[in-house]
Amino acid sequence: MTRPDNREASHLRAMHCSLGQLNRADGSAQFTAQNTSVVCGVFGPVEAKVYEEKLDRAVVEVKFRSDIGSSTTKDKWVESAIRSTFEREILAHQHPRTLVQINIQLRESDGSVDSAAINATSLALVDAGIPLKSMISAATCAVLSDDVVVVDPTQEEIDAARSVHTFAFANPVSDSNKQGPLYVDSRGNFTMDEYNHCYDLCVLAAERVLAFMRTAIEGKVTKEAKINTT
Amino acid sequence: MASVKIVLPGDIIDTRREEEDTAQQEPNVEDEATVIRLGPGLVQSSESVSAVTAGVLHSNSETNRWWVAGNKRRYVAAVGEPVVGVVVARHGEGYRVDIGSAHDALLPQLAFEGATKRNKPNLAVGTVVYGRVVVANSVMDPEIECFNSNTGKSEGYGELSEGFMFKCSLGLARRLIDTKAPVLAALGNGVPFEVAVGVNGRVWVNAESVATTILVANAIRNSEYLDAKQCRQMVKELLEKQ
Amino acid sequence: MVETGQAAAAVAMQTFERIHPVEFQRRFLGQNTRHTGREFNQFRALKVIKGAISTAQGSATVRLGNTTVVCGIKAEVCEPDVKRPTAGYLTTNVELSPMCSARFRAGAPSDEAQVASEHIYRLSMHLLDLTSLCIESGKAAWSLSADIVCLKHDGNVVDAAVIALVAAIEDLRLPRAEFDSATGVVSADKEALGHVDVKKRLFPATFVLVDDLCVVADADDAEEQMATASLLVVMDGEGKLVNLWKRGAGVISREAVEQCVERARERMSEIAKVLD
Repeated sequence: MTRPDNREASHLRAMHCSLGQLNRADGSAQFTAQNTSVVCGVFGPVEAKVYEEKLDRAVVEVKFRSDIGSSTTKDKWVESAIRSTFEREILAHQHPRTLVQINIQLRESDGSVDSAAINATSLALVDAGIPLKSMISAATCAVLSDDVVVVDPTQEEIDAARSVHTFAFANPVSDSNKQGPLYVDSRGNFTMDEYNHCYDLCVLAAERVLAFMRTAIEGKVTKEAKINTT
Repeated sequence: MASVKIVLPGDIIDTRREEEDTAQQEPNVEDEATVIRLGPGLVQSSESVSAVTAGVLHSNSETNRWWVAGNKRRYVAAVGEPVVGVVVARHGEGYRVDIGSAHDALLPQLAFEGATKRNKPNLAVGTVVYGRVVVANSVMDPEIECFNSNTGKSEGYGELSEGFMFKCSLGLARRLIDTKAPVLAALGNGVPFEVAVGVNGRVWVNAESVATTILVANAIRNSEYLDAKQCRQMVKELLEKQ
Repeated sequence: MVETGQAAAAVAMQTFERIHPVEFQRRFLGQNTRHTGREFNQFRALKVIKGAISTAQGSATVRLGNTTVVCGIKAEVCEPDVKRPTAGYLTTNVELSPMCSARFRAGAPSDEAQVASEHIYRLSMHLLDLTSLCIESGKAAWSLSADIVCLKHDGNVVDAAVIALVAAIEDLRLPRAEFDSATGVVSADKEALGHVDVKKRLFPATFVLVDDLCVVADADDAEEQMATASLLVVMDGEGKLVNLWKRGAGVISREAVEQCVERARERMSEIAKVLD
């Protein structure tokens, strides 16, 4: 089986990320998997507007833009997916009456956008130092028409796929896997066996994504910590 | 520091190492020592301790305190910390000061050295002040004061006239407040200047000429990722260029 | 005396529900029951009325307990997309107006409504073969717009909306249309009405994790307010899955998901019975 980009079925695309690129945001991250690229900027905790502030916890607001111009219902759908995933993972009770604003901009889209957006958000929240119950990593896989399951599909593969599955897990992935995923979006035409197979593959992929994100954060933290010790 | 352990949100912290050590000591000592005190960046979830922010894990084996030191850009007020703020509004009893936290801080008119009902400072909107946080909790707006309320002396706090204020990361601000901060030491050897560092990531500097002020500000901003040696080199180069 | 005693108890219970809605629910869940007396995996009574609106080409009213939604489909002729000259259109819109619940405000559609619209739109792709809406390749095709209006919001609107959409599509009758290539005009024979081929029927089942404690089927509004996660399972008529959508950070274990899918499979025949 060869994939359009000559990857093996279980291989992720080469990932790249950079933290703190946006100097006006409290935290930011760019997450790239070859031709899929997402930038996320986080502000918070900042003052919430009086009508939206909650007395016992922080409000989490997510804005997702896939293009220039006003947002579409498609963007709203992604926003709601990300908000529902992160809303309870952010320890909102530590900062009542405030707002945590998550802004996500899609830069390049070539499949597996939802999971890239979740990963970028996770990194940006950590960069901003927002207290999180745990880091979240996400992965997508697709069942192609010939029953082959591929991880981290490109848009071309998604268009030809019979079903597409996105899962998000908390850190550590092994525990999160035992308890159950944080977010699932499986759609297309599939059986429970296929779902379970994709689930297992995504657990492994999410673990790898998390390991990658860990290295990225460690790099930044060591850079700062080194100076502290000298 | 033997080995630097970096943690991510969700990582389970292994605090057992300490317990094993104490197990070999007197039993009554053990009871006290196994009480673990958690500082910033850690929470207890059921039986285990896990990190909620990313950073370097620190622990003090004597007090059994554990905490995570990470860098941020957004300030969350804490009692006793020196901050640099900008007056954004004035009202009957005092001022509202932007200190970079989620909510503006209150600065009562009488919280200055020698201030009385008759004789109180008159600060315009936009004035930069150096103060100390006296009230900080999650449900109330923070409050700062520009004097030590126990002694009534200003102790260096108050209005910062002239000069220049800029922002930096909270980690850099915390390093600058240390008198041994290499960049400030190196600058101090070359040019005379005044500096007020707020742990809220705001630094105010003032020098004889505008050019020197800018030089000092740039040097401090550049020092974010430099170690002591690099700092001295960087300052030297800047001073030579002047 | 007995009657007044009972009345007083009922009032006391209502007061308790109003003042401590969360605690009220927890008391029931702690006893392994729900405040409405339903079993955890029991759905509310489903009622479907096809063809409720005579002015629409296809319509259906669905009641799921107290939740009521109406779906009306309007058919118009338009030019197909250049990229897909043989395909028609199916657009969906979910309206959650202030009349269905006090939670919604008049004006621009709420986020919840937009998300529901988008999700149902994505599901509707499985419902119809859009090429069956073609009248003349590249020239004319049917454009169907399905408006789903919620009249009473008592939880689980998505299930009701999907069922309403399926029923309305099944109810849909389109006049036979002919394209006159000489004049470029589409003429419709209003006497000869025909059904649209439904590619797949969709059978939704929503489960909600209440208070991080128990997974319940077909939550009502009070239970949804306490939900920490929700799981939507959509099946086609053959027992294959079309969509599995879990949202919210509450933990629904892998085994629980499998049980939900099993329950959704049973639910499939329940819905099919009502639809026929």
